[in-house]
Amino acid sequence: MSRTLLRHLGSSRLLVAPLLLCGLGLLSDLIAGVWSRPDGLNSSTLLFLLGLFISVSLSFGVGILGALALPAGVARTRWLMVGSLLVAALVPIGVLAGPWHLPSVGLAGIIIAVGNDVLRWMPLVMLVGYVARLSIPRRVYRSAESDEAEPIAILYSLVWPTMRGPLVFLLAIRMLAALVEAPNWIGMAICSVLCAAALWVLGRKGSWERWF
Amino acid sequence: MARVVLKSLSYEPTSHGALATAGFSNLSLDLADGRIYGLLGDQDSGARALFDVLAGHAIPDEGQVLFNGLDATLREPFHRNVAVVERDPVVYPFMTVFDNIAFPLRNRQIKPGDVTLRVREVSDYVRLTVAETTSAERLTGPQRVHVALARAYTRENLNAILFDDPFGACDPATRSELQLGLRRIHDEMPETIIYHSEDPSAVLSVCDEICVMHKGRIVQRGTPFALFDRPEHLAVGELIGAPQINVLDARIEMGTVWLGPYLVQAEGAISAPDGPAKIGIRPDHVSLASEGVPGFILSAHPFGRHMEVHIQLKSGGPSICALVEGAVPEPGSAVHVAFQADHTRVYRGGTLISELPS
Repeated sequence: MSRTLLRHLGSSRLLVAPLLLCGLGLLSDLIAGVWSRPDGLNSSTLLFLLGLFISVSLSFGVGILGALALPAGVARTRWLMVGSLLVAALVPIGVLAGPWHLPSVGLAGIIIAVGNDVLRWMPLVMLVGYVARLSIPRRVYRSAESDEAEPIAILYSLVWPTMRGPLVFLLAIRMLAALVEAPNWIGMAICSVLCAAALWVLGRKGSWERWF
Repeated sequence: MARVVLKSLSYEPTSHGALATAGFSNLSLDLADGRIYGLLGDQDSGARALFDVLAGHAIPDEGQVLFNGLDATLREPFHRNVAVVERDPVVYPFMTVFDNIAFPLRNRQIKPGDVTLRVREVSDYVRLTVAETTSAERLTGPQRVHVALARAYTRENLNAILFDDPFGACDPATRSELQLGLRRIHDEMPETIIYHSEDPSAVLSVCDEICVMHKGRIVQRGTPFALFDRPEHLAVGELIGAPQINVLDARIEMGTVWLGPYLVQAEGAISAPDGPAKIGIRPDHVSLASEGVPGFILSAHPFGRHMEVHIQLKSGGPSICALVEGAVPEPGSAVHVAFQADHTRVYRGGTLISELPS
């Protein structure tokens, strides 16, 4: 791949935050989604094709947006590729798995839940990721890179403190939704513990008044 | 610290988000380890682009960047083992002073105990006056510079430290103090330093050697004294020294240099082909004399121990500046101007082609 092409492909910083949030969504659905949505997505062919189209276009949209919006770098390009492929792979799996009415427990159930959640949360996750990226000035990002901080370290050390408030808010809503959806006391208990743990982990590095 | 070698490097900052406005082409450079090198040039010189390439924030179109012989051309900034201190240095918000200085060490996964020791050691070297528990958001400008300096020096075995005029935003007194401080730190912890600035006074007072860039190439490399004393390109003369070097339109005929109808040199001949040329001479080598090129005084005002006199020559062109000791005739008075031959240089296409015989 020529240097010029690498330079123009850009970076994948934008994808880091969405992927992290996807991970959080997956975690919550592992607990709650399997119980609450045993049937997965609607099985009609129209919805299936529509879902497939949206998911593929969204995932490539993330990739293209990342490529266009951000400066160049070889490793960043690698991040971009991996991120795009990951998102592109996750979403259709959920869409494809839905119509087959696979059992709601075990790996298949998890895949359905994951696919559903990524699809539903993707626009919001993209927005949050983009705001997270904008929240750190370019010169600060460059300085952190020179201090040997890789993108994930920059996200944790510099973007995370500024985005903690909105992220906690989003996560709390998600956990609350999972709590309401949970059909039995085991699910409710797990969701409550997860919610409390998430709030504790997110909050332990700063004071509450700095969040919002 | 490392020897930094640039091999046939070319870069045009066309990519999205590039900070530099002008690139450079076919640039080669060999920088020895443990010295402070200046990178001086205006916005269109390509110096900023070269700085970005060294820092890893831009990928060159061609050529190689070698640190101690290892190719780092395509390495990401976080894998270059290079520290960068930006203009108006960055301190990370939401962190204390200690956390700021420890940040690069933590990114290297160094043990907490060793981090604490190193941070305190470096804080002593840079003479940090602020408490390590202070929030970075509460630091003053000079304190931010000190913290950024400490953060740059906190890693050991760096390939190089890159400075992008970090003291440029400070007031003159603070800037001078910080520049002296940097020289002192360098004496105690020698690293290969590349100091980029558009301000000549900054690099002249800090650097051992300076590379002056003009329109995408290095036009002269030398010590601060050599650059001032014998500029090999008019851009060097114009950048370095105040008041600025005088540049006069001249012509060469049969080894003699003429300003309009007036012969400039008193004796001898230069070995340069006939044609238009430019004369470059610093104001302190121009004097008022009983004979020479005629003109009249436009203005005169004090400049330190001298008088800065602006004279319009009868040969035409822009006025020239002379630094003169003692009394100066009134503005409008007719005078003759003499050029000190051993400091009068002849340029063609901006490049030095000859010196006047003395």
